[in-house]
Formats: sequence, C-alpha cells, structure tokens
Amino acid sequence: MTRGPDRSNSSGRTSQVGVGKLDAWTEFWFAPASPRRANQIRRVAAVGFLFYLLSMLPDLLAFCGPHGMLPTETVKRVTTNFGQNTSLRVSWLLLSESPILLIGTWLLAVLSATGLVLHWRTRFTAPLCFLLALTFVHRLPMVTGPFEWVLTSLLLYVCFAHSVEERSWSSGLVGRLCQVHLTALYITIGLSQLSAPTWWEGDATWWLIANTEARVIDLSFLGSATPGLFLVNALTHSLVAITLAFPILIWTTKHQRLLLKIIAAYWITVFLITGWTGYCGLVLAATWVCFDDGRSQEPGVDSAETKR
Amino acid sequence: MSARYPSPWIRHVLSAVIAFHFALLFLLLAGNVSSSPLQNALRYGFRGYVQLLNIDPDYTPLYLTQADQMDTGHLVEFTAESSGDDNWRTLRDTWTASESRQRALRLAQTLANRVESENETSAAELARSLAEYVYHQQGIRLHRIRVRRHLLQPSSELRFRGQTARSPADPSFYNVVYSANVLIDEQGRALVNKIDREQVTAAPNPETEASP
Repeated sequence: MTRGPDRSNSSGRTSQVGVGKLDAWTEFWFAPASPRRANQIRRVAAVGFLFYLLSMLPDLLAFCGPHGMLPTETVKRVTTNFGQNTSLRVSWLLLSESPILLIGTWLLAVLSATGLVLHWRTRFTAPLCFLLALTFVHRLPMVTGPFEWVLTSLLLYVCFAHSVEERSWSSGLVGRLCQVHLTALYITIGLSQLSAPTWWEGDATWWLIANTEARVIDLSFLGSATPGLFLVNALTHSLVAITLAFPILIWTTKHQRLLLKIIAAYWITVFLITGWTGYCGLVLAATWVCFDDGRSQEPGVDSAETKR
Repeated sequence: MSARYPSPWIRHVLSAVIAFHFALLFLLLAGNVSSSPLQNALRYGFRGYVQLLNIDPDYTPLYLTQADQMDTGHLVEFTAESSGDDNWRTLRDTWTASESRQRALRLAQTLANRVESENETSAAELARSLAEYVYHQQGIRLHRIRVRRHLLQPSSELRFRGQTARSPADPSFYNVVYSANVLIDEQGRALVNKIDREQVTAAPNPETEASP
C-alpha cells in the first residue's frame, strides 16, 4: 500500500522516535495522527448505531418481547440446531423477554450512542456502544444483515481511539483499521459479484430492479425497450467495475474526492434499487470519512502529505 | 496518549492482534459465497472470536444478487381461523426501505432457507413462534401460515411484443415455499403441521395489513 500515514506534525515529536528506523508495517499502523479522522469515524459509527436503535423501536417488543416473533427459546434452538451445535452469540437479552429489560437496554444504548456522537467520555461510551450493539445483534441473529455486520465492526474499531483532541497513534490506528476493513469489504463485493454469471451477463441490476418487495424506486420501465436494457447492462458493469477499482485506486490516486463522489453515486444507486437504507448509508459515510483526507479542513498538513 | 509511537511491546502485541484479526476477516470474507472445508474448519475453530465479535458475514449477500431464488422477496402470510383460506394477511408489511421491512423479509427468507435445506424442525419452530405471536399480539387465531416467494419478472417478458406482459404481482410469480396448518391449544401454544403437497402457485396477496 503506497499511501503513507498521516505524518503531519509541526512539533517534530515524531523525530524523537526515529521514523526512518521503523519498518513500513509500524509506520502504516502506528504513526501518530490527528484525531480528526478518528472523531469522524466515531461520529459515523455512533449515528449509525442511533439509526439502528431507532429502527429497532417498532421491532423490539414485536421480535423480542413476551410472545414475540423470536422468543429466546426459539433463537437458542434454531442457532444451536436444537442443541447439536454450540452458539457463542452471547446476549443478556437472551436471558429474559421482560419489556423492562428490553426497554432499559434500548434506553441505555440510546444514551451511550448519543454520548459517543457528542464525544462524551468516549473511553467509556465507545466500548459500551459496542457491547450493546452486540447484545441486540446476538439476540436476533436470524434477521441481521450487512448493516449490522459493518456497524459492529466500526464500533469495535472506535474503541481503540483514546483521545478526541490530541494527536496520537491510537487515532491513526482507528483510521487504518477502518480503512483496511472497508477495503476488504469492497474487494469481497467485487469478487463475489464476479462469481455469479448474472453480473457478467449484465442483467444483475435488472434482478434488483425487479424485486418489488425491496426496491425504493421502480425502474422496471428500463426493461421494456432495448436502449433501457443496454442502460441496465451498463449499470451492472459499472457497479462491478467501481467495486473492483475502488479498493485499488483509493490507495493510489491523487483524485480522491472524485473517487469518493463516484462511490457516493454507487451507494445511492444501490440504495434506490435494493432498499438497504442502513447498510448503504453507513458504508457510504464510513468510506467518505475514512478515505477523505480533508486537506482543506486541516491547515497543518504539509506539502509532502498533500502530494502523497 | 501522546503523539509518539507506542512502545515496542505494545506494537508487538497489537501487531499480532491486527494480523490475526485481518487474516481471519479476509478468510471469512473469501468464504462469503462458498467456502472450502479448510475455511469451515477455521471458522469453527475460531467461532468464539468470530461469533462473539460478529465479524463473520455468514453468507450475507454482499454481492447484492446472484439472480438466485433466495435473492427474491419472501413473505410470511397467514389466514385466520374465521376466514378460512380466503383472506391471507402479510406479517409485518411495513415501508419498503425501512430496516423493519428488511427484518421481516429476512425472517421469511430464513424460514424458507430452513425448509429448502430440509431442516424441518427449525422451520416448524420458527413457524410456531410466529403463529403464537399473531395469536397473542394481534388476537387472531390462525388457520394456516405460509411463506411465499415473490419471483422476479424477466426483462425479456416486457420486451417480447407477442404477448401482454404480466404484472409483477401476477399470481404466477408467487411460489409457496412452506405451508402449515396451525392449531392453537387452550394454553395459547401453537402447533404447526406442515402441508406436504401445497399448490405450486398461490393467489396474490390482498392489500390487507395485519401488523400494527
């Protein structure tokens, strides 16, 4: 990976360590960095968690409450295949279906997420948000999707940032963890799309458009004429090309903002044809804050970093 | 926390953790579509870490679609004892782009998946829970419960001028994956009895909303 770590440091303190002697691994993961990116990631994760909690409000008692759709016993039986397997999905919400426990946990989670948004006692609220998110996710493993998978990972990584104001290696580490995680996600999306003939044949987007149970907008008129079908083909090939090119170009290009705008268009398109609000919104926001270097917002950045 | 690099021993410990975490993550992501016995063995071996931290995407459709039957919409529907087989209602039919909607679709998909992987016991357990939910939360004594798959309309059908295109809501686009008779006993517990030979297509769902 050619992208250098954020080494802007007008105080020259990094020279005490002797950057030149450190290997690339150390420099990549542990270089001190401004807390700006870690703070933004923390805020995105916290807002994502708040969104998740608000979306859970109508479902909380319906799924988890007394005589809910997924009682604790049913979840235990299905996840362990009636005791044949072991499940290590730990959640104290599996202990009881009490509405007091459910609502109390939900309120605690809302308070913690709000605290994290406001950068209030983040050493305490960040791990608490992570644990509470896992508590809800492990209570309902059958109905969790990619949104929860990305959310819990982001909440895990922001636990490592210790300072919200000072430059620190932990701030840089959080940025790197999220960047590598998202890169892995994009590579997986692209490669797994290539495993299905429908993405090669150019009609994968049509199958998303035709899913009336999930889509947000109806673009099915595109299928009624050949030019529309060509557009569907072009859109399909573009989605694959973007997901495969993004994880490479984002580490090498100088036109980062342009690439981020393209990826924003990608996620908005995916949202409109899949209806995956939380997932598309969270990955888009996380990608933006993780890879946008915000040069215009950080006056202390030196020219070497600007050129990168 | 200063602006210095961490001390060597912290770097070494964290490096090991980072290497382990991302090696496992890449391994799990590489098995997103299908996985080798080795990947399965490692996933099982490290299931404590993987499950506890929820880092296993676990066949989550990150690819968006593979034009597979499982990539279609699935619906849980039921009829009340009083209305017989005529008035099918959809369980929790909410706004399309909401997370609630996604959860309802995933729940129906999970049930369909259990049926198709011949895990009938799990399918019955899920159906039983849903029947009890409807009885206790909505006060409806169920007659039948089913899962329908909403098949997708091929684009060729819209372009072929020799015939009138069907509506995406046409009954022929619905496929019953699972159907069971429901009996609610005096204690309010549900018993489900799967119907083995269900008709292949089912009537379109009326615009009846059962969930609050």
